[in-house]
Amino acid sequence: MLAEYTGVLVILVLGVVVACAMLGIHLLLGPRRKFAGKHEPFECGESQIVSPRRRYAVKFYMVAILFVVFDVEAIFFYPWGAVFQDLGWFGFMAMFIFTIPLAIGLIYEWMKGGLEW
Amino acid sequence: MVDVGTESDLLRWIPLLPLLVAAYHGISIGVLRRPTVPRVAAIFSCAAVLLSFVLACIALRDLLALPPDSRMLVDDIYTWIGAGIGSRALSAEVSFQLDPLSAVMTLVVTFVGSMIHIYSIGYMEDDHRDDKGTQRFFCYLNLFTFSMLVLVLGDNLVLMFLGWEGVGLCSYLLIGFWYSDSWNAYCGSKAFIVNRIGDFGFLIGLFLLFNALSEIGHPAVSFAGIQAHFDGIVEMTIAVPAWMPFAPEWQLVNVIGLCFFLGACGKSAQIPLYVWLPDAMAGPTPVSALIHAATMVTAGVYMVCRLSFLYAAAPEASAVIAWTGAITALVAATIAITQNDIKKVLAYSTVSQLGYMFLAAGCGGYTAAIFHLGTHAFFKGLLFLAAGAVILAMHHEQDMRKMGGLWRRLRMTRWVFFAGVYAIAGFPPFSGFFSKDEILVAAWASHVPGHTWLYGIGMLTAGLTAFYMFRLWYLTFCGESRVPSDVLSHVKDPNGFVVNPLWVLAFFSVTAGLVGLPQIWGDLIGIEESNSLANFLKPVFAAGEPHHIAHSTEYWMAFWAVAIALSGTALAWLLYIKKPGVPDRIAATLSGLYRTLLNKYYIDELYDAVIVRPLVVFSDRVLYRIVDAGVIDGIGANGTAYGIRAVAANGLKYAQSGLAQNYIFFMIVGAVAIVGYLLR
Amino acid sequence: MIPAPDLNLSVLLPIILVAIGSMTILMGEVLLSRADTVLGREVTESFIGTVLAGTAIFFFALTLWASGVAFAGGGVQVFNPDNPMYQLDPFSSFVTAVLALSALLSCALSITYLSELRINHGEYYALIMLSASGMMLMVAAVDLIAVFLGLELMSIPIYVLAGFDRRKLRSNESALKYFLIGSFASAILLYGMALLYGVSGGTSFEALRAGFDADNPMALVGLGLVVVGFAFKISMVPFHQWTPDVYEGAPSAVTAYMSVTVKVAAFATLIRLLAMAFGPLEASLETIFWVLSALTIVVGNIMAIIQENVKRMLAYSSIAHAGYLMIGLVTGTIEGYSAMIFYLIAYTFMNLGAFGVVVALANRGNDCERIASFAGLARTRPGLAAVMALFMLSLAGIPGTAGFMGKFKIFMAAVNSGDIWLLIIGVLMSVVSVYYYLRIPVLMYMREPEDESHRTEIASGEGAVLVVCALAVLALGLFPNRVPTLLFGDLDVLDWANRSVGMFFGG
Repeated sequence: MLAEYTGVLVILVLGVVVACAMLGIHLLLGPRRKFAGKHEPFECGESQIVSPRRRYAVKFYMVAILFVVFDVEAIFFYPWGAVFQDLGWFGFMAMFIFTIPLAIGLIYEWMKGGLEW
Repeated sequence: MVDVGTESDLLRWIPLLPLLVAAYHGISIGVLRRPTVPRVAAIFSCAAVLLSFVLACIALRDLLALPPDSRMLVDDIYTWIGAGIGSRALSAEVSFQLDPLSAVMTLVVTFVGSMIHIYSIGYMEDDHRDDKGTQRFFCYLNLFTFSMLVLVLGDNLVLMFLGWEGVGLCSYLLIGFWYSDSWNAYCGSKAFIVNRIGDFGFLIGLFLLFNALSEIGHPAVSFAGIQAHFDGIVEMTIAVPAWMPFAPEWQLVNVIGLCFFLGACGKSAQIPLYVWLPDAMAGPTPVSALIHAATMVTAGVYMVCRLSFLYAAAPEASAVIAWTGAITALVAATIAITQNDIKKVLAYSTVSQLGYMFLAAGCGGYTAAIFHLGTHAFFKGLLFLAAGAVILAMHHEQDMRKMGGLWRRLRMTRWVFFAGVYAIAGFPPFSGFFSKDEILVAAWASHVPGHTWLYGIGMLTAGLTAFYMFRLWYLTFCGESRVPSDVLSHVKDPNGFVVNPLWVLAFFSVTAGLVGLPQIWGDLIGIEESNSLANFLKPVFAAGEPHHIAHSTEYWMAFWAVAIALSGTALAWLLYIKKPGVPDRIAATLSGLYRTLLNKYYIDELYDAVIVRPLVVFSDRVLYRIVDAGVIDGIGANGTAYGIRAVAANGLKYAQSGLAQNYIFFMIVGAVAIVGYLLR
Repeated sequence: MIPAPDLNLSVLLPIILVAIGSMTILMGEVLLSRADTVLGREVTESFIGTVLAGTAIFFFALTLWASGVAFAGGGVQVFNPDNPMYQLDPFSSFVTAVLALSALLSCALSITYLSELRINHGEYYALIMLSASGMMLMVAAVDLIAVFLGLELMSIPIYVLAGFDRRKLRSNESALKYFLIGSFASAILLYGMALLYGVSGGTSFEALRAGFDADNPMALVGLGLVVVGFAFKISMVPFHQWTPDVYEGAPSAVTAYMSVTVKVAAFATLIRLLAMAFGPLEASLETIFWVLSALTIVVGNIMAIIQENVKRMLAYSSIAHAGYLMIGLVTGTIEGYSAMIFYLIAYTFMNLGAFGVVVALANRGNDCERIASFAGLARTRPGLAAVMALFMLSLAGIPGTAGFMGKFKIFMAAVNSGDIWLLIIGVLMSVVSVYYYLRIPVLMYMREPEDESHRTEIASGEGAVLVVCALAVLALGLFPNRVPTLLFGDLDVLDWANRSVGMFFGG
């Protein structure tokens, strides 16, 4: 019975091995230069300490938020896809209706110029 | 319980129409602040009152179609005040009733009212004051008409009291119509306050009556209900303090009757509460005519007649009414002799004539009182309006010493004025002759103590009336003109709105007496039941009509009445036309008496010193400064107000810092408190 | 094959209608703004605004109709019998109808106002509709998760709306404060819900009622936190402090909308939650509500006295009214709940009306804010002054107005359930409230106008809303059990309120 999970075990082990190998090789081969920026916590590529009064591009955040929305929605599609056959027409219609507001949101965003950089 | 009469939905519209128009005026000037064009506003008002008159005529036709014994139309609308249960149940309905008595009153009010409304259109156009407010004027006038109609049509004492207060309010508003003149405002307040004293009596009477009726298990405020159970309370007595005369027990109905009469004294300007009426002449002249001559001031007479069943059972109260009326009639007539202001003369004349009506009512001659009330409404309304026309023509000059010789200038006004003077002086066949004659007959025939004296006072007053009215007539219209020549050249009859109603009123002043033609005159020309008014009113006053007297006596009384009127006229002619210097010499010789009369027996001064000043001082020094301003305002109202404000401004305010983190802090405190309480 | 659940879509019909409406408006806005002319009319900003408002009003009217029909039908239906999250019953359909009506009036109120403030963006009506759909979800919910979903769907668009006048600093401040504190309150609410779930093992109201253990401290903490979460939304003291800042900063039309609808929705949900899930706990909650109610009445009224800004004054007044409403919660009787429902309706009309006048006075990009600027309004704008005076009298609870009838019913319920002291506090503080309410009529009618130029004419939308509100205030005050209407005969609002809460008491 547990044998069924062998594949999972293999993937787990391989994943750990690959990750460790990449980090290890990088450690061995890569050049090392220390500067202040490297000691800061990583925050989406933004500097940590800046004047709050300066101007910044809000578009960056817009795109990020829009991405998060679609990202979250995509999560709903995965389980649906897995049992698509079993749910039948009911599941199809439900997901179709679910998609309509998404599509409308996308169209609105697009036509309002939200996707233009 | 009582025969309720015939239903008629028509009645409610008679008072409602003026009310609706008054409300319209009120909304357009008070709420929307967009006054209507004066002429249009005036036409609305006139139309409403005229329509009411038409409706009243239709109602009268319906009433006459009923058999004489059950002539009563009722319009029960809704229960206005319902309180108490069982034998204390008070149920005041908004319900109107039209019986012969209220029919007569309604017709007089709506008809004379319409004429005066029309007259006002012309009169108020001449109003050049700063606070010009034709629409305001008509608003009050219509509100007055509504109140007066409620007063006469109401089927119970509470509704009557509503109308009673309503007319008082409108009277106050209209006397002080030109409020920017502080004297007018003072006169309005005086009228209102003096009336309040009377209203106090009315209310006490109402309470006593209701209490007595509920003690016998029949609480009622409607006239029909009171009358139905009235026999049960006639024998009741009431204990009075030992220092009162005839102590310790008075008959209750006498006390009730006197209380109501106190109300009537206030409203109808009888001694001791007559002082407001002469000052009420500060209002516009149409107001003097409508309210202070034709309608409102007769409300007291109407009430006494309405409660005739009560007064018939209360001989002492009736005697007080008769004597008060007679003395008022005489006193007011003597004052009228010396007055120089044309409206003041008419005002005292009104007081005197009202005294006449009370004399009749007190003697049991209710029909005579109502008859005189009706004819007086016509001729006194006419006289006031005509005087108004004179005043208009003279550019608001009211002093008769600056008039004279207007006969040639006021070619129309003179005729109507003349008709009014003849009617009030009591010359046949003018209306005043018949009604006054009937009063004198009633006085002669009654059982009131000293009724022959009452008759004598009545005769004397009749003579004085003829004298002062012809004095007014001669001073104004005859003799040499004392008008400055530059004014005289402009004196002419006012416009049609003013003059035309005068003709109508003059016609009725001359002929109205014929509805109450005494039977002795009817017999002469062969008419049965000639006194149609008396027959019409008979079902209402079944209780107390005076005994009939010999026909020969009645002829003689008519003769003497004419004779004394003639002698009064002759005296006036002698003094003011033939020998115009004599009056001044008489005044100089009898200077003490003359000044007493000119100053109205110093009654105003007496009241001022004895009642008004002490009250004002007490209320200012003690009630206002200490009780009201100090305790109630200072500690009570403002103290708590400042206290609460201080709590907000000095304490709670600082909790509201405007910082989101502080808000969250308070939320956490609150949440902890709630959870902590739940976990206790 | 997984069997399809037996869904009853008609339960969600009002919400679906509103949601479709909001999407229609979004699409309509982008399509219209790209066209030059539509049906021969030039497309301007105000034209778009009017069309979109019309669409919103149309959908709200449909919703009103649908929920009215559902209410008239009576009966209880659930969306999904297997997992009853939403329930259509007399209560939810009645409250939904009230919400739809007040949202409709708010939309009509906003048309000219948005142009006047130059914030005429199409999203406005979409956001209003989205938040309305959230409220409707919330009042129909019989499950904690559904309640939370509705609450957030209601709140987030309103956070945005509060900052809708984005060029104004105070509008931004308002939105940010509301958002920050609102998120905090949501977190507390969610925490409470999680604890309740932990105790009872289910999120539906039924499961809560069955599994609630009053001796378990976790359950009590959860209950307390849920109450706090709602207390924030209906601005009970001490969770009220955001209210004046947010009401003041938000555009007046938004304040009008949120001051009534949020309160209606949150109170309705709280009633349902208490009646359906926490019935047995009445006694311990009663004391809490008693104290909160008394505090709210006192603080709301006293703070309102010193306000010089009319929107802040109305904010404190709305806090005070929340206090009066809570008296109904304290009683916990059918009489108290139905009085609350009636009061909420009365409050809807009088508060919308009062804010409506403030909206109608906004001029050239500026809100009318200072109380002093009402001076002499009776002379310059007599009609507006008259209705404002009416709304103030109603808020103060003068007889003849809806406010009086609502207060009367609430106080009556308090008497009948024996909460005399709370009643005394309420009545005394009503007296205090007369001071700040009557200040405005006094200024309008007894002072000379200032130079300040108000808008000189009223837009038809605003006029219609004010007339409707004024008539409703009078009708509810004079004939609460037979409101005369031209179209539908006489309406018995008192009976409706009774019927809507009767279901909680087996009626």
